Amino acid sequence: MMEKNITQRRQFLKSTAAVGMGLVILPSGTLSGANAPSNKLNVALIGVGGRGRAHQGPISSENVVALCDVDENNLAKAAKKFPKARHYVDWRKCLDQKDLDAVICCTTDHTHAFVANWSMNRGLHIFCEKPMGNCVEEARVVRATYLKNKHKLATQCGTQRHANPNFNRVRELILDGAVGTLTDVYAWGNRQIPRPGYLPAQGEPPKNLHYDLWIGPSPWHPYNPGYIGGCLKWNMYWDFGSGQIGDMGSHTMDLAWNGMDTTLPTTAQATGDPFNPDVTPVKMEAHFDMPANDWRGAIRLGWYQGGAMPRSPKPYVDLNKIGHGVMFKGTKGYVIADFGSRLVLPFGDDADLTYYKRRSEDEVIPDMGHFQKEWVDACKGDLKTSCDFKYSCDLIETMLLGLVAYRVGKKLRYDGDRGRVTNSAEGNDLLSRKYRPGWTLNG
Amino acid sequence: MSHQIKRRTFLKNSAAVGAGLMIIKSGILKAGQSPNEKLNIAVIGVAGRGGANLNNVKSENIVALCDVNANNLAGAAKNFPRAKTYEDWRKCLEQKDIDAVVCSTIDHTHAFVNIWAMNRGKHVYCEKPLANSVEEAHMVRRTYLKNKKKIATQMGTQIHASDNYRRMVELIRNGAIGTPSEARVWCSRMPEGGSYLPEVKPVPDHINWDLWVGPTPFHPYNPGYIGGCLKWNRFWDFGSGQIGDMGSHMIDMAYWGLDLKLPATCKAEGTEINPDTCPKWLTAEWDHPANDWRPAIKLYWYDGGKKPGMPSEAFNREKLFKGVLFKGDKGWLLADYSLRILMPKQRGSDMTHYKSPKPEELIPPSLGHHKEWIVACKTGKPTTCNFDYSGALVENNMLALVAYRVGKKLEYDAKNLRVKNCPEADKYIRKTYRKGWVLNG
Repeated sequence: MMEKNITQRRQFLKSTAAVGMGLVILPSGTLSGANAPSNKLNVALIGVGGRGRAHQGPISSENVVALCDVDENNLAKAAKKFPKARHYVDWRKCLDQKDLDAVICCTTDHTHAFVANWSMNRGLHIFCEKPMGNCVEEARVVRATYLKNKHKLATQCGTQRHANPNFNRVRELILDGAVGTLTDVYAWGNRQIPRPGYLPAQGEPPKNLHYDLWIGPSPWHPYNPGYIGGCLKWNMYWDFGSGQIGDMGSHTMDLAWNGMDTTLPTTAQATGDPFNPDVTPVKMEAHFDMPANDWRGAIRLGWYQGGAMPRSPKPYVDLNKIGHGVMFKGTKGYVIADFGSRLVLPFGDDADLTYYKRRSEDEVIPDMGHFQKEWVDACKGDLKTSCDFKYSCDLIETMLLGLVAYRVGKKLRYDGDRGRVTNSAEGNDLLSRKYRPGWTLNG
Repeated sequence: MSHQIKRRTFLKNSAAVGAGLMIIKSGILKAGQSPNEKLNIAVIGVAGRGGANLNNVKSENIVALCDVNANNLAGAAKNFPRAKTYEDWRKCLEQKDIDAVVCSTIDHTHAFVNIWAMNRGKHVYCEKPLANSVEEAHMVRRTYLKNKKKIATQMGTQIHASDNYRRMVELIRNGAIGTPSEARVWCSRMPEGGSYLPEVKPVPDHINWDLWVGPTPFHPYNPGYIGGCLKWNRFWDFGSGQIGDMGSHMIDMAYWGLDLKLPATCKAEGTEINPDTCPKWLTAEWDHPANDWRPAIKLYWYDGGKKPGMPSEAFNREKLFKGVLFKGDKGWLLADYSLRILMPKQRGSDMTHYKSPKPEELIPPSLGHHKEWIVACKTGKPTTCNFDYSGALVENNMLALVAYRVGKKLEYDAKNLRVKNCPEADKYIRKTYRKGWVLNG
């Protein structure tokens, strides 16, 4: 019944958006078209500190009806901006609120997949901070839930750098043949946050912090204030995150992914720092074979982090000066890019660009505009977003498979359709993780 | 002379029907006895670059060898026993059967050999730089233009023949950086500066030092002047520092890419003026007027360790010993002898402004820098670095040294070979020569 009500409301939102132009002819002040109260999304903000704060400005054009955070101090701060919203410390309770249309999830990494599945299963649009999961299976379940609901839900993974027009320009260069035939893609990040292991127990959680909920589905670790205060405090611990794979890797691989049009890898192999059962590696590189698609053959994909780097094609180009970057290699040269800029390096005397297919101005990929607004508009309109949970779960599943390969220490063969490693039982075991009793991933 | 021109006209015609000549049975005409098919070349300066150039034209008849160093001359003569030998190029040019001259002397005699050879109807291949002053460059170009219908010329900027230069030019001309506005060119060679070297006695028997000095003001012999251009070209009377040396190669890239001719202004600065030697570092800036396909261009030069700023941190300035950085309204192009990197502007540069070439629109590969000249001598086909193009390039470069020495921004009147706003520049535009030497002889 609840679901039906929501669906009806959503269809109404969609219809009013569709006839938005018609509404404009009404005398001003009567109804303001797209900004009419009835045409606004009812949004729950889950996780309202840190990254959660970044979304509060843009989303204030909608009705923020629920605020949820395990830290009551964060809740109190957000309540000043959204005084009418109801408060929750447990996102499961929050999702029971009847009038919700959409969720913005900015929790710790290890709860993203839970919130995403639960929201979609309740018919709610969702914008979720990256990464979409903390293990291969989580990414797969989120994607499956999304695909089941994609006819009625808009999703967006919070890789907001995707809105930089440079992403489109890089994609165009690759599609139009600036490197000839694409053979290899490399992505790297230089961030290094070494930690020896899980933090020792240190004092009691403050009264405002519901630490048990902070831990949520993950295995228990005693409280230490060092875990709290932004993803760089927690995301290197296996139970709370995936290190730079999920952090900057989500952004940087997005720049690469956007120019590859790829599905899941067929192999994964990785090396890096010695394995630490508590924390993810700082230095690591992972290599994948990516299958052919309709415009190119199979390619190799490499991810490098924490000091591992691909080799520069020319000494004149210092890849180390690009903190987070990608490099596309083809038969005729290279495209090297960071989030905002790009270089084209035709390689060799026969790299004469006769093979480059110039696109006409009307074929240029339009700017996506504001990243969050694309999702808000999609919720009310055609449900299409640039970083929906198909795109972003494919990406993070690949990256997380790299971590599995790192732990297994050999080249894994991967069946992406079934989500199985075909040559390593240990690898298969590492695709999923164990949860505390009482927590269900796909609830 | 008229005889020579007739001979040259014949060569041209016979080359045009070259395919026809092939029907002559091989063996009837022996090598060296088929003058109609080969150029008679005089090689002036036979060691160093001269040796390399000699090697590149040895398919022709080498009929004369000239060097002020008897040892060099003897070494070269071993391989070309039929060639007559000279120590004075003026005598050499009197030899009747010469069609073409390859000049690899010291910088300060280039313009003399060029002009004398062209005045005698000879084709000329000359090492860079073509001249040692603005006036000399101007005169070389003018002499060529007067004779261009009957002679072929080429400056020895042999990297010009590379495919990389062609790809670079295509990128610019096809709009890869949009509308170009500037080019910044650099080379990090460090001229040593210092003073003219002290006299060392005696002059070795095998060196004719008086002829080595030739037209330029006299300085007594010191072996430190000899043995490659880096030994002599930092001294004002013998060369033009790095802007004459590597500037010829590197600014060539900007000249071709942007279709530059002669500048309207020039200013330059460098280390404190030294009456003996070129500055240890030099930066220069020229305004080049608009032409029919692009607006006015700002051209910059940096040497002695100075370099332009880079549009991307990823361009490793340390490793970029030399290069050219073109800028347009849609981005930058960084290039060097074997490098091209395009950096589109972050925004508004979607490459719709770039018209990628069709295969048939590519600049054809060079036959080779020397071969191109040899074929031009025989057929009248164009060369890529004739003395009009390269004369303007060298004139542009020499003007920077005038601006440096005067310390003012010059308004240059190229047509009349004068600086409009600065009469004191005149003494640096032209050199004074030793008695008995005539530039336009």
